[in-house]
Amino acid sequence: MENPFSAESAVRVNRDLMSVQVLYFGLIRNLVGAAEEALSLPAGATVRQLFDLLADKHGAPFRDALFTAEGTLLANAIVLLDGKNILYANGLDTEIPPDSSAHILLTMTAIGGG
Amino acid sequence: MNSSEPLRHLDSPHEDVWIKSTCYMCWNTCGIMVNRVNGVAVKIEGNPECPQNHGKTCAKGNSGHISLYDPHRVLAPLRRTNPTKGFDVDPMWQPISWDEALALLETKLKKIRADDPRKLVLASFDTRAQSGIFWMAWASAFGTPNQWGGAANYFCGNGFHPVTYLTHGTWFGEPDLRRCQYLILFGTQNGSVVNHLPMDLAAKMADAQMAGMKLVVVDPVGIHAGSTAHEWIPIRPGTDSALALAMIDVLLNEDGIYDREFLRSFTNGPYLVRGDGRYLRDPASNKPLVWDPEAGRTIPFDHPEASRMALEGTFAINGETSPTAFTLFKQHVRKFTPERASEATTIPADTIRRLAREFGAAARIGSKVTIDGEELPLRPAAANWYRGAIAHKHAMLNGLAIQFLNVIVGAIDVPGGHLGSNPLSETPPLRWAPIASADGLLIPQGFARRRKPPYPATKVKAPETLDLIDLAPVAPYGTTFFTEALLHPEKFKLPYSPEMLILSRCNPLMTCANPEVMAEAIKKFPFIVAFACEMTETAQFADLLLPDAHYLERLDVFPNEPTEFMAAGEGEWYWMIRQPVVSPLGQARPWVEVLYELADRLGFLGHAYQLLNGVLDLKQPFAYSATAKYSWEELADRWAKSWFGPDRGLAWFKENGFIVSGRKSVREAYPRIFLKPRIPIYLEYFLEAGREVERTTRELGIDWDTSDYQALVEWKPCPAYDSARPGYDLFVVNFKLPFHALSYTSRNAFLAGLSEQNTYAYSIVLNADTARQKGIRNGDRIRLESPEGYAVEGHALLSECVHREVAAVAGCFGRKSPGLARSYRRGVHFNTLVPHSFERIDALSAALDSCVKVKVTRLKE
Ligand code: SF4
Repeated sequence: MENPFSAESAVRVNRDLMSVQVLYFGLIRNLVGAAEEALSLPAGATVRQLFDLLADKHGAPFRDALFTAEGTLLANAIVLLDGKNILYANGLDTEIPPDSSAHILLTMTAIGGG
Repeated sequence: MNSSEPLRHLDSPHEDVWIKSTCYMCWNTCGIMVNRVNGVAVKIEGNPECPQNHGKTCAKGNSGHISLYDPHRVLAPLRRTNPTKGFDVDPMWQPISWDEALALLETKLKKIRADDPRKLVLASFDTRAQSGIFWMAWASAFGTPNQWGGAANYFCGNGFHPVTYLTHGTWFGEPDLRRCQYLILFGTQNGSVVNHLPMDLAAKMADAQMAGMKLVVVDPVGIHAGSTAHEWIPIRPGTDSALALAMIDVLLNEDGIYDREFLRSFTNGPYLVRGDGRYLRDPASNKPLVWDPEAGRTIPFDHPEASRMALEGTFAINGETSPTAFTLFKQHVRKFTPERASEATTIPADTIRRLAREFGAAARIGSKVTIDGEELPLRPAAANWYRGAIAHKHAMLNGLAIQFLNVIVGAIDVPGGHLGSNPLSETPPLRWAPIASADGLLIPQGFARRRKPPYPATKVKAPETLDLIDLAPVAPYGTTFFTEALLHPEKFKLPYSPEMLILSRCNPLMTCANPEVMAEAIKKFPFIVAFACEMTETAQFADLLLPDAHYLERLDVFPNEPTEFMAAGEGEWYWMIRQPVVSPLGQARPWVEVLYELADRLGFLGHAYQLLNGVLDLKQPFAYSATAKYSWEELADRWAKSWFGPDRGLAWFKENGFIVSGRKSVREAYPRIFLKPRIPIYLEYFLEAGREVERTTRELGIDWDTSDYQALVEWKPCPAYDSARPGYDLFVVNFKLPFHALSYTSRNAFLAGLSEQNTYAYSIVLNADTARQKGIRNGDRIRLESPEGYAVEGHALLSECVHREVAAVAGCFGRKSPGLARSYRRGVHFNTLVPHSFERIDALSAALDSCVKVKVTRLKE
C-alpha cells in the first residue's frame, strides 16, 4: 500500500490540484461581499467547474446573478481568464491553466431603443 | 464672445478647416464634416467617404451647430434654491462653481455608496460609444444596477429588438434593399429619414424603388413613407399583427406557399410537442425530439439523420399524439382569416389575400443566387416593422407575428429578405457568432449580446432593481416598470428607496407618457443631478444642474456599434469617431468625464478600468492599468490601439474619421445557411418563463399579467378597444417627421423654422371625411381629450392621408419648459394623452401602450 505521507505522494497531490485566484468586479462584488478569493480546483478543471464551486459557496443569488434559467452566462456577465474573455475561447468549457487568475465581472447591460 | 466676432473672422479667415466626426442629432451615427472657421463651427455636411451615409445628411444633421450656439444653452453649474418643483415653478437657480458642485456630489455619493449603492440611479439615452460604455462601467463599479432609459425606449424597440435577437441573433435588423423586390413596412418609415440608418436606407430605398421594388406601407398615417409607396394601406392602430397573421394564414392554409426546407432546417418547426404544450424530449439526453419519417421513430433534433425530419404531421408516440410545432402553428393561424382580420384592421379581406399572394410570389421560394462563388437562397421579399406596430399592449407578440411572415417564406438572413444587423463577425478586431442552446435555438454572442437577449430567459426572482427586470425574463429593458416602481413602491417591495438620480441626454418628462405623471415619478428622487445642454423639462426639476458638452464638443470613439449602426448584408466593417470640433463653451464639460473625476475622488477609478478591460476586451500593452489615471483622450487612444494596432491610435482616427477594417464575406453578410442554431416559431420557453413569473409574483403578492407568455403568436386588442365611452371615437397616433428626433431638436432654430413652414408639424391631422362629418374645417382650433381627462389642443389639418378613425400628431412638440423660448408651447404634445398604468404595459417587453382613444371637439377661436 502506498504511504500517504511520502514525499512522492505529496507531489502528486499538489499536481492534482491547482490554485485559482478569483477577482470580482462591478455589481458581483455587492453579492459576494469580497474583492477576491483563492480556490483550489482539480487540475484540468473548466470554468464551469469553477462556477459550480462558487455557486455552492455563495448560494443561489450568485448563480442567478450570472446565469440564465437555461444555465448560459448572462449578457452582462463577463469572465476573463488571465485577461482573456472566455467567450473567445471555449466559453464555460474553457480549461483553466494552473495558477490562473479568473476575473468575474458583472456590468449593466446596455439599454437601447431608437 | 462679442456677437460680431464670428462674422468679422469670416471676412478674413486665418483658420478654415473641415473636421471629420459623427453626427448625434438623432439616435443614428452619420459621418459628418464640420467646417470650422477661426474657432467657430459654421457648417456641417456629410462625409462623402464614410460608408455609413456616403456624404448625405438630413436637415437635423446639417443644423447641429445651431444647437451648439443656442443662446439659451446651459453653460454654468446651477443649484436649485426653491424646493418646490413643477413645470411652471421657478427653480430659483443660483450659480455655483464646478469645485463646489463636485465637492457636493462627492459627499453625497460617498454616503450613498457606503450605505447602499443601489440607491443611486443613472438615467441616460447616451448608451453608445465611449461615453455610453464608460458610464455603464462607472455605474457598475460604483455598485448600482439601476439604470433608467427614460426616453424612446418606452415604446420604441421593445417589440423589435427581442424579436431580432430571437430570429437573427442580433439587436437590429433591416430589409435587404439591394435585392428585395417586395417590401411591406408595418408602422415604420424606412426610407423617410427616420428610424434606423436613415440616410443609408433612404438612398437604398430610392435605388430599390427605381429598380422596380414594390413598396407597400401599412400605417394609419400615409404622410411620408405612405406617400412615396406604391401602395399605402391605412390600418386601424394596433392591429398590424392581425394583418400579418391573416397573411400567414393565406400563405400556409389557403395557398400552401411556404419554405418547407427553411422551416425544417432552420426553425424549431419540426420539434414534437406534447399535450401540455412542452416539447417531447428524449428521456436520456433531454433534447427535443423530431419525427424521422423513414425510420418511423423519434430522434433528437441534432441526430445525424435528423436532416430528413418531418416538418408537419401528428404522430402517435407512447400512447400520446404529438404534432410538430409547425403543425400547431399552421392550425393556430387558421383563426386569423382575412375576414376576421378585416374586422380588426378595416382592411378589406380581398386586399389582405392579395397582399399575402403578392408577398408569397415575390419571395420566389426555391430560387437561388450565386454571390462570390457561394450559392445562396434568394428570397426577395421582406416585411419590416417598428414603433407604429409595437407601441402597444402586446408589443412582443405583434413584432413576432410580423417577423414570422419573413420566417415562413425563408426570408431571414438570405439575399433579398430581412437581415439582422451583423449577427456574425469573422473580421478583426472583434469576432462573434451565435451559438445554439441545449434546445438548438439561437443565442447571440460576443458584441451582439452587449444588450439583454430575450433567450434564454433570465432567472425570475424578487426584484432587486427599480426596472423590475427580474420579473420580465424575456424583456430587453424595463424602462416603463421603472416608472411604476417609482410611483408605487409599496407594490413591488424593493429593499431600498432611491436617493439620487443622475441624468443626462434624456428627457423623460416629455418623451415617455403624460408629463404630469412622469413628474410625479421623478419627484420621488430626493436629489436630482441633471447634466444638460438645454433647459429641458426634466432639467427644470433638478437640484443640481451641470452644463454638459454638446456633441460637437466631445470625444467619443466608435459610436457606430455594428449590431445597430453598420448596415446589414453586403458592405464593409467600419468604425467611426466623434471628436470635438470646438472647445466646450462656457463651463460645459462632457458628463462622463465628470463621472470619472468623481470615481477618482471616491476611490473606484481602477475598478472601473478593470471592468472596461473586460467589456472592451482590451489587450496588453494597451489595457488600462488599475493603478493609473488616464485622460479621456488617453483612454480612447489605448482602446483604438488595442483594437486596431499601435499605428491606429486616436491621432489617426482624428485625422481619418473612420477606419474600414474589412469587407464582409458572404458568410458575414448572409449568415443564415452557414449557421446551425434555429429560430423559434414555437415559443415553448415562454411557457416556463411565464409559469416562473406567475409563481414568483404570487409569492410576492404582486398582481402581474402573464397571459402573453404563450407558445404561439396571437393578435390581441389593446385595452383602448374595450372603451365604449360615447364620443371617444378616434384613435390618436404619433408619427415621426424627417427633420425632428425625440424632444431634442424641437428648439433648434433651423428645425423650428422648418416646422413653422411645414403643414403637418404643429397640427392635428384628421381624415378629411371624418372631420367634415364632425363639422370641423381646415384650420379650426380643436381639442383632443382622452377618457382619463388628458387633453391637447391644436389646429385641425384635414387630409386624405390619415385613416378615418385616427387623429395624428407629429413629433414631440408642445415643450413645457419656459427656458425653451422658441419651442415653448409650440405644437402639440402627443405623450400628454398617454396614460401610465401597469395594465397598459406589455408584460413581455415592457412597452407602454400608446393606443389611446380620444374625443375631438371644435373650440371657439
Ligand atoms: S439621420 Fe441622424 S445621424 Fe444622420 S444626419 Fe440626420 S440627424 Fe444626423
